[in-house]
Amino acid sequence: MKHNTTSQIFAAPLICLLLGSGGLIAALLFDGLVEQLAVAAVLSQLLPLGYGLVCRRLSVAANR
Amino acid sequence: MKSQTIKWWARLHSVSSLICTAFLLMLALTGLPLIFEDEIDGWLNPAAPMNVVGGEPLTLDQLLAAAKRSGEQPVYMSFDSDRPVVNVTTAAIDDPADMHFASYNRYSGELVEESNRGGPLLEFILSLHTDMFLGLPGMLLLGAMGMLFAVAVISGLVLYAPFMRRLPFATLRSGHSVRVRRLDSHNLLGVMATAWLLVVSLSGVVNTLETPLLAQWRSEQLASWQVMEQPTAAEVSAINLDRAVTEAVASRPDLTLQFIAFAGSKFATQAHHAVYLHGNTPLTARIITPILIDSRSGALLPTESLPWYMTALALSRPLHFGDYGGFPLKLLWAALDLVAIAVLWTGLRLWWSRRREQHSHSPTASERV
Repeated sequence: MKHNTTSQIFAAPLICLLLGSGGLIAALLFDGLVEQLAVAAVLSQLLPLGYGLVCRRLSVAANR
Repeated sequence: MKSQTIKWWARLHSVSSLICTAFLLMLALTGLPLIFEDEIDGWLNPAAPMNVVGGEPLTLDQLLAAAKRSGEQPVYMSFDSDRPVVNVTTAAIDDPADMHFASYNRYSGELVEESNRGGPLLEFILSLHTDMFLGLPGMLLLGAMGMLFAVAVISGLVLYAPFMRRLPFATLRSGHSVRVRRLDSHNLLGVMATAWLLVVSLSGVVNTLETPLLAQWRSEQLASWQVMEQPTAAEVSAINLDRAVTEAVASRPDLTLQFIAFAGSKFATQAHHAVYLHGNTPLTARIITPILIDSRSGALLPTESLPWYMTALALSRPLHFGDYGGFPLKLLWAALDLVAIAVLWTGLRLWWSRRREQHSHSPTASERV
């Protein structure tokens, strides 16, 4: 079976980490539009859950 | 990663998680209503309509005279940001611990009905969340649990790699056993919320150090300010407070008045009133700058800005409470809090099912990852 490399394993979590921490700090530093974008960045941390529930679960189910 | 190294990290993850899980579950559950404390407070205690008269607001000296109570002296004066209300705290001269709090209309000097902030239920939840009714030892214990949780998050991140060696990102193996489904959910929820979990836990740890940090600042900073003999009540009332405070505020036009600590109080010296100002940007609004006023002459004294650890404390509050980005951020905070509860719960159930498996010696191949 093909193994994932470390960069493959951590690419998506790293994006979550950067969006989350960057958004949390940017929302504290800025007001207005930038703050709203920062909050959206924090929100995007939750997207992998939707991806997992909709895409990855279905694809695994289809492969069974 | 070698199997021995993985075992070491797994053990660190298990031990650090197990010790703090019960505390963290309590903190996450009690933190949920506290995110919406302002909204709940506004709903339970709607602000009474205020009699706002036109013209100039009363001077601070006039308000202080209105707040004067026999046998007491003023300790603090603070200003509401959303309505023209001045809050005055007084304390008995012979027993400084015996304090009285009252709010006054800035224009008429009339007593404003004291808001019953939060009510007994929110107060109970806040005390449970802050120190478990144990005071400083409770706060420090929760701080230690927060540190352990940060260790658990980091060790969990390290363990994520061997678990995901053969699985694409965000895979939830729905057709497998309950334990495997729980493990996938635990890994996905934990890894996607790592930033938030670390920020909230570490800022919570800093918040638990509030009392020792304040004590350190008071002993260092306040002691470094020139200490003079205790002025008499007549000397204190002799200065024009309004003029002195206006001068202090005018000396820093980039800042806004937050509160005044009168001479002899916890946040001033024996001979100086301290005027605390805050910034006007989302970041600097959390950082306060003190300016001292000689309580006998009314002269301003040059002061240093707050030390780094007090700034860290000031910045850790919004990062922990999530109250700096409006209602959308509060909703997001609540969602991530629910994610944290799910991570803790699935982690606990995983440990429990594994323990039961080990006792029964009947692991099934399909449950191995």
